[in-house]
Amino acid sequence: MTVFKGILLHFWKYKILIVLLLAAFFVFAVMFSLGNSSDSYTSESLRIEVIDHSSSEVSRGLIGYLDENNEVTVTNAENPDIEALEEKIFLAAIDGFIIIPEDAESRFTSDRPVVETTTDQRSTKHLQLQTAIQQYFIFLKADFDTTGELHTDDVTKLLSDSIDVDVHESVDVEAQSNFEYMRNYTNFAGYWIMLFLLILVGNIMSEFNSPELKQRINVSPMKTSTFMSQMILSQIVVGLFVVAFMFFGALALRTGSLSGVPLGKMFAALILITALTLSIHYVIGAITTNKFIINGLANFIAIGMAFLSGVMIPLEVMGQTAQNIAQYLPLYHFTQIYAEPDISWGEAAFPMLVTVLYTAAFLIIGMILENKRKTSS
Amino acid sequence: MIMMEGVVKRYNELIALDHFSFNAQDGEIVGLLGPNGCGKTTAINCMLSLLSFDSGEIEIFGKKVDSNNNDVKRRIGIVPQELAIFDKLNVYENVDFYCGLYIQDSRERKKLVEEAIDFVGLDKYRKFTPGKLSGGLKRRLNIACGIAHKPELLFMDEPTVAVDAQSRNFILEGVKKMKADGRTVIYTTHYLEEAEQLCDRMVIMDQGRSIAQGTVGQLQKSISTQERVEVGFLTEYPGMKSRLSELPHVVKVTNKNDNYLIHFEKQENNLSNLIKFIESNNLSYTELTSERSTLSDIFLELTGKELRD
Repeated sequence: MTVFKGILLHFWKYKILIVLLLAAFFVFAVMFSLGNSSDSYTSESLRIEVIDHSSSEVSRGLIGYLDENNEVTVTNAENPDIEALEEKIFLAAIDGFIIIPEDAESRFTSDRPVVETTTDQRSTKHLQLQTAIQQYFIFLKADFDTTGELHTDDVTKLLSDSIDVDVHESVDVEAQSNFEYMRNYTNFAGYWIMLFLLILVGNIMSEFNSPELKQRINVSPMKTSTFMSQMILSQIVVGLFVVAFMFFGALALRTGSLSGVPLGKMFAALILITALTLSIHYVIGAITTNKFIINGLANFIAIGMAFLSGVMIPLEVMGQTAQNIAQYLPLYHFTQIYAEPDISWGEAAFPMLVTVLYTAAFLIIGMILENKRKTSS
Repeated sequence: MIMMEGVVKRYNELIALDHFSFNAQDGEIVGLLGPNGCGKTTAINCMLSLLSFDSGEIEIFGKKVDSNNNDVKRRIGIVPQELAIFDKLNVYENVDFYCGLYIQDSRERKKLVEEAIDFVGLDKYRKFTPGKLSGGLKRRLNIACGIAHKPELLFMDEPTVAVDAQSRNFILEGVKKMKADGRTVIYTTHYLEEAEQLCDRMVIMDQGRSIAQGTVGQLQKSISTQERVEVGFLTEYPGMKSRLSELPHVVKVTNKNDNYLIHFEKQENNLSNLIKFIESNNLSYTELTSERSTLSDIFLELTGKELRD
């Protein structure tokens, strides 16, 4: 096991770099974790000015309803300074103003727009005000259509009362949130494993593949098959170590937040991306032993493939062309192994098979290039 | 121990080995000499079955060379021309790695590694990585990696290139010790002094061919110049070159101003004949030196060019 031990000894010599790379990964992962909270919805108290030209029951009812949860200032000025009010919105002194015309009641009964609102449409408060007004008039209209009379106090009371609602959704929100986090984590881990292994294994193996050292090994009684098997075994050990570190690191990081996460598929995906990376490295190693070229190619391949495969940026926000290209990249199929929280092994089998085939293809290309190099020397 | 007969190796149009023949016996140090590109390394690579050859025959330890013959490989060591050591591993780890390719038993290997490190004088540097070693010490490490498993047959390809005088002497002494231990060494170099100092026999190569083989004495006898005498006169004497050429056993005379280099074919009485000639003609000279022909002369006469061309 001389070569096996020799390669592992080389990895040990790079221990500081390995620790730094893994630590950097976990810093990013923890940062993601902190920013990953459940979705929550809050409504704020609005500052509203109302110009009431109607002074009707409809307008009084609306003002009363809005006043329940917001700061409302009411005027009945004949000619309000609209520009000054708009300026107030611009300066964020108020969130909006409502003009209730003189004929508000007749507009209401004849199904025409009753009030005119002005808000900053870029703000979410615009939606909040629109929703509140619509809610009021929908309930008032429903009551009016049923009874033929206006019961503004009853509507306001009805809208103000809170009720408990149990929402039976088809998707478990917490599980979905857990899955989203772990999917992003695994995407990132896949990219990191590629970069990590291509750079580290590439640099170490470039020494073992240098012609001078290879010559000494070839002269020794060690068989080529023994050398290759020990070399592959050592790389697999390192790859498994990295995968285990990242996978079990995630479990530790997300203890108690793993329901709904297809952990088995994610683990399998990380193993497969490791195998794929080592096969890509084999091709690079057969092309060159120059460390600068190896590092450059490692970055180019890892970043380029991660970018185009939706690992860094969701594919949905990229153009159709990019989405089409992605389907031909192995990293895309890596992400598809755990694409859904409830993905079955049967559904994951196809992307797994594609990743395995890519690995085999790279190995064959590597062998061809390696043989060519041997023949030419 | 080694028999190489009529080996031809071609790289497309270029003939690297042209019916090259060579042999080495147990316990010999055999020098392969020749200028850069003459085929020394190609010959070694063919013997080590690192290169295939087009025709001819090579046998080592009585067996035809074969890259799968591990019994033969186990008995061979190599010190390549280029440094073949791991930059990230320290001296001990480097030697241990290469020894491990031959010796599986860890206890035995440990002993051999220690001996190899002691042998090349790197004991003080065992924890040093190659980056912290001088050029000469790196060369010694390169040697330790090749000899740790105690090979019976050792190939040393220009082991003293670009090393300081101290390390060179250390390496040469080491090679002599290996011979004393009964090992066979195939030593390639283009340093003539080294070859003269070390080798029992020499093979002179040029353009992939063996142009002469034998001991230094045998090689010297194979050329016309046996002795060279250099004489420097105080003043210029007209017709001196032709007068010196008429002396007995003179092969040729060359001169630079008043300094003359006289090549003699035999070694008997050449110097006294010359002194008699000087005295009888009342000539005044500044210095008079005599030396036997060297490998450089041999190479020059056999190939018509300097060894370092």
